Amino acid sequence: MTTGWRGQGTRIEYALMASGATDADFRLLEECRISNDQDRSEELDASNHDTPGRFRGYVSGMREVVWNIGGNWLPQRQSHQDLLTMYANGTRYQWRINYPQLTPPMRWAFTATLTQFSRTYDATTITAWTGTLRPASAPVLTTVGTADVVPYLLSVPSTADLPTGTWALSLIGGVLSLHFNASNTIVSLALGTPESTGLMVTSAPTSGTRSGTAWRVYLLSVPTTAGLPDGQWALSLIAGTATLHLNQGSTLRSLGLGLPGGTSSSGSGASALPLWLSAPLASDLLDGYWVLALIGGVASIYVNVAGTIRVLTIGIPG
Amino acid sequence: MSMLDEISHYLEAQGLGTLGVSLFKHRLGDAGVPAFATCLFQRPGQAGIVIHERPGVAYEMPDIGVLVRGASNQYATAMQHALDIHEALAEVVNMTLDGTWYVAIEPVSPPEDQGLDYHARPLILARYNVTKAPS
Repeated sequence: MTTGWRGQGTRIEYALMASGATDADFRLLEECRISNDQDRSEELDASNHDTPGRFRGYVSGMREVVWNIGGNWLPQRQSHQDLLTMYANGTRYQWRINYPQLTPPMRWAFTATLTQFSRTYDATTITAWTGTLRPASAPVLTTVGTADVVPYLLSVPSTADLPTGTWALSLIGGVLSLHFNASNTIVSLALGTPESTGLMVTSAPTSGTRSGTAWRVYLLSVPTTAGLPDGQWALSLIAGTATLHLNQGSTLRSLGLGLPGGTSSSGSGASALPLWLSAPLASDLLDGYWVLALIGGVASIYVNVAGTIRVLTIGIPG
Repeated sequence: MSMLDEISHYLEAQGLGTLGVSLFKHRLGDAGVPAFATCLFQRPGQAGIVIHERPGVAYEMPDIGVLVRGASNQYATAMQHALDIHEALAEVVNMTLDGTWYVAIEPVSPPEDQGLDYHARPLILARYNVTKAPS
């Protein structure tokens, strides 16, 4: 099946170094809206009187590779000031163009010199810039791991991907979902599109643990361990407060998610809200447990992995 | 807040009308509405500007229509009011209105005479292209 797609969602990134850049070195080039690569080869006429059929024959010559990029000119943004630096220096920098909208995600990676950098600031149009990148070698198109581009999965994980008792987020077709490996069975809970207000189960819920219609799948009372099998979880919405309940070894544990649209405070344990406003310590979390944190406007997941806190930065909401 | 709210608040701050009294949005009625009144209408405009890294529209490009109505003997007054609004809206460039970034409000053309309504009241209309961040 052929699947058309559009360029929106593409992330154009650069690193201010000629080689050796890691993910942390790459910065997003903001508000790009033009990206056009032109890879042309010279044609050398290799025809002669012995050419079969008297059709002219050609062989390829040197390749002319040009990447034209541009967008809204925002001189107050660091990434656009970096363009000025790159153009002034005239040296090679590392670039990559990510296609996170593909499954699996793909990426062009190349080293290039910015050989043209023009700005327009007409009185009657939105200010814009265009630039020309001249790759120093052939751009390489590769498939990349999802973690390199986005901190969520782009396809439903298998039990091989997701160890028992662990969970992962996915964003598929614009729908955010939570996947949980419960005793070697993937249970998925669609959290909906970012704009939606409801929750929807996308795989069969465990009998008796959830109630309501497809858009109201939360419990209206606290479940019992008899109703919630060991290792399973359920959401409840009681008196306006959302809570996640887990049967852990026949002990019901509950995690308050707070009021939808309300404020949260830091804390831990069954009665506290899970949104931390400061980084938790290893002593705050049991091994294998996680919390969400919102610090300085950046959302992150903190996990205690064998006594070491590991952090997955989700990013800035919105 | 919608574009019409933002622009009407701006015009009100410029002394070019009072919302609900002489300045209206969407519809310009007859009952209880003075003959000399202004109404803002949202028009389709253009598709907007998208950028690579973010889904959705980065900058909307709707059009707005401004209709000024005068009493039957107020053609000159209505036209002058339309010109005053025209000047005020054309000055909206790189400006925040009610927290929304407006790149520009550009006149399509100066106010034009639309003739008379069924009460012989003059109608003056002008249209503007708007480039703005989503409200």
